[in-house]
Amino acid sequence: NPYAGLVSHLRASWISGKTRPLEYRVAQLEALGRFLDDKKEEILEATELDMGKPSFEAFFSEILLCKNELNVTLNNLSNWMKDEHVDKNLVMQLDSAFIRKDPYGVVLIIAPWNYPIHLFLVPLIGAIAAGNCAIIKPSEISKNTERLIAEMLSCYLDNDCFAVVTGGVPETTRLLENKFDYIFFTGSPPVGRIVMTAAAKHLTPVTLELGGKNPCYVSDTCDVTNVARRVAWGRFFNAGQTCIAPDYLLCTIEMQEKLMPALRQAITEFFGPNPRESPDFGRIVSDKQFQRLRALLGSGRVALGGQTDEAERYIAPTVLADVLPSDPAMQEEVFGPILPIVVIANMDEAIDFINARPRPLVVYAFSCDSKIVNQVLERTSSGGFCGNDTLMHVTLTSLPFGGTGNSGLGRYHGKFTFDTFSHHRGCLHRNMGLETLNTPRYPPYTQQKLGLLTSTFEVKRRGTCTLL
Amino acid sequence: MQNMQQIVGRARAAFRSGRSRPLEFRIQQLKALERMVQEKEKEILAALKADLNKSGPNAYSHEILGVLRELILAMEKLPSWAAPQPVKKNLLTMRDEAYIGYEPLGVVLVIGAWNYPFVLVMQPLIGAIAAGNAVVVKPSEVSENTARLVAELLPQYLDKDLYAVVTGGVPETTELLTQRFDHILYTGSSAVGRIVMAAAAKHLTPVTLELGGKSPCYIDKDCDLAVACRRITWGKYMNCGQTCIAPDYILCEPSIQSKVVENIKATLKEFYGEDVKLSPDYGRIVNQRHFKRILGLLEGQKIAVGGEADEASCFIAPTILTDVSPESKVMEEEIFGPVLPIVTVKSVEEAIEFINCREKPLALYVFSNKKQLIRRVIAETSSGGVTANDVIMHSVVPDLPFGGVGHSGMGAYHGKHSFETFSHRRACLVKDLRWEFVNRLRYPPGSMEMVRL
Repeated sequence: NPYAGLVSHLRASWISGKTRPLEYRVAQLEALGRFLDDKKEEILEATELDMGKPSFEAFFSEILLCKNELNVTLNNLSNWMKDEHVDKNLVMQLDSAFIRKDPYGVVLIIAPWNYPIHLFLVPLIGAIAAGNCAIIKPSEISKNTERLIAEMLSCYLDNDCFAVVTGGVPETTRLLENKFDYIFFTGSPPVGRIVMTAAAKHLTPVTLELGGKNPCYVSDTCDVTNVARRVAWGRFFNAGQTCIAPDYLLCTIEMQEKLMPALRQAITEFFGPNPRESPDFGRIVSDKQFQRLRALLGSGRVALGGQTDEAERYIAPTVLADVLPSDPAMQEEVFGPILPIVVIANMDEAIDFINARPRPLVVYAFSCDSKIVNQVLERTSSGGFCGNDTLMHVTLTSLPFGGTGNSGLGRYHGKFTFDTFSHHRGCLHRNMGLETLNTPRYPPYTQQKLGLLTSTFEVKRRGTCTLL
Repeated sequence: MQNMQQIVGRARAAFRSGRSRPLEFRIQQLKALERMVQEKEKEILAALKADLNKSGPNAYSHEILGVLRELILAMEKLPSWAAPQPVKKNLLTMRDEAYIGYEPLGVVLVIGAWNYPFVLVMQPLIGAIAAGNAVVVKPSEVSENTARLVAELLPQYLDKDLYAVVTGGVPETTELLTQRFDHILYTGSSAVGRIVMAAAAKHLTPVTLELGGKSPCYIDKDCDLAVACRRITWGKYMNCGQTCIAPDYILCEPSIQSKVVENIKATLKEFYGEDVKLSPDYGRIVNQRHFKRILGLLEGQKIAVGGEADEASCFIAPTILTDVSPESKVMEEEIFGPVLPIVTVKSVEEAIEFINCREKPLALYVFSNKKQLIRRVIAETSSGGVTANDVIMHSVVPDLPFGGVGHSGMGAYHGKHSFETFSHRRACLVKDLRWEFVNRLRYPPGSMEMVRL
């Protein structure tokens, strides 16, 4: 077991208790902030090399959003760490009943390649805030960022408590043989199953941030221009390589026709007449992903875009019209700059279509009629929901971010990350006196004692009189 | 064998019909459960007596009172639990609706245990119904009378398709676990917990595992020993030691060991009389297999109190072992019986180290007059839950989450925590299609200025 030494080193640090004081956690979090500030250019450069990530996007997702999470955490950590006192009944008035937030111990964070800094750093913020030690396993696919993280993070964080492990599938498999106290995984559902199965051997709790096909319903009553802009922004951000991107559109044939010129307009507005020359449009991360995406272009008909360049791993912002549910583009998560449109007759059909499929990470619905937006919300199930926009629900740190069913289990962002990496321990600190109050619970058991117990312990329905 | 696919399929179809979603429906089902518990009290108590020799008032207070309380709490609080929770917004979302919606997960599987066979299926069932799910209940086959009764009663009071009972042992449970559920709550051993989680992993099903372990009990020499020992005696020997949060073993300094033994011995007489075997309030071991297992733990030990056993009635007297070696068999596995080992330690530091060398327990107990010492023991250890200066009681505070950590489990339930366990917390952001100018800041091109801002 090549990682046993590393894990036991971290475990020894954990047992020493050094990660527990607030001051220590704050110091490590502040160091993470300095990492983001000092290495901003390196991060922008590495992500550009990895997937042609536009600087603005990289700044927004890898730096700005991460700093927001850091600041929310630093601003609130001492409150989050406090014991939460809970209501007590009559006999416990002199006792103290509270929920203690305990760290788990040594946690493992496995991050994917598409937002390679954000997707390890935001979980790590919560792990540190909650008082844990952590091993970070960045994705080998975003290899420039992986190298950056492996080389630079150790200059900022306490190396006895935080370590980076690099490598691919074989290394991750060996790493997962070790016992961790929590595993946080972001990636695909098939690998999510493998991670959870490995975790089961050690009874390790997990958070799985997975994916799926995020449907985007556009009703007939809507401002087509604004819809097109918001959908195009969400779809083509990071060249479509976003777990919460609108994966496919559901609309009537009339709306499909109305949307097309609006989408063309939006794409031109964003990326100019030749997106390949725009500094604001990304590239596909690898040859394998490029080939996979190119094969999807045969679905339906190419209404916008469709151009590709293998050498650059460039795929133009593309919209496919009249896509059938049986087409390749509808069999897997697209994860690229291709937007299939599936035509349906009405909202009910759209909702049935969504519900017939695995629960996605997010459901989108666009309509000027708020009743329609609410209907889609109420009649579907998904990790999250965003009405009349795309992606934005994850920028609000007060909203939990996670999937359900095939799209994942658990949630994070803001306080939810801290809670994810904490064990909520129910504690009751009783008084040694007033022993006579305990008499009804002791044997020998009698009906009279039972009556006393019932009256002191039961919850009375409102409107009935309480026995003093 | 019942057709698991059919049963789960029916529950899923019933869930999809949407009828379990309105709050009125859920409350109506909970009211029906309340009626069931009140009307069938005699039958429930009889089943518990047959399975575990639990006496009437004892069984009522441990299994029925808690269920009624949980039902009333759920019916009262459901509207507030289920209400969408608005969240703090930022500048960009000021005009929008942002909230967390509580939604049912779908079809929930509840696997019960044999030691508190009624409450351990009922309490999770209540939470799952309150959260709007369909539920498949699998009571333990070891407590067969209660299992049979639950299978008979639930269909008489609840919606038959939404809420189903599956009976059987290992083969039936294994078959059931191949089906897809939207959450599984399992109460039982760590070994089987692994199997349940591995089965759940195939479907990416979230799990709540209420497992066990050896719950340590540290007695500081500065404490009211008589009171401490009375409370410990109560928690240890209730249900004949077959309680997941029973104090499993005692840690104390050698100087107070004999006083601890004396006090517990005196309390045992108070509770069960001169001849424990004749007391209607003292239970029996659930079956021969566990009887033999527990008796085997006594080998080579110094028996200070008890030790008597009667195989025919699965009776094991309340037993205390002294000067127990940390390496002995009785210190390896969860005892789950009326045997209380005392391991001596020189100080609270040694006790803390002893506890931390072992798997995280479900419960941790510490008795002391010194508040500082108690705070220290809590701060320097980890466990599912804690009660200081008493035992068991943290599990009856309705607002405390009840669950384990590490080998003692994952997730929690009871009260509102059940509702949250069985719900999906869905992040909802609803914006307006107007006010597009606000969005221009984020769109390409010309965005490098934003980077420099």
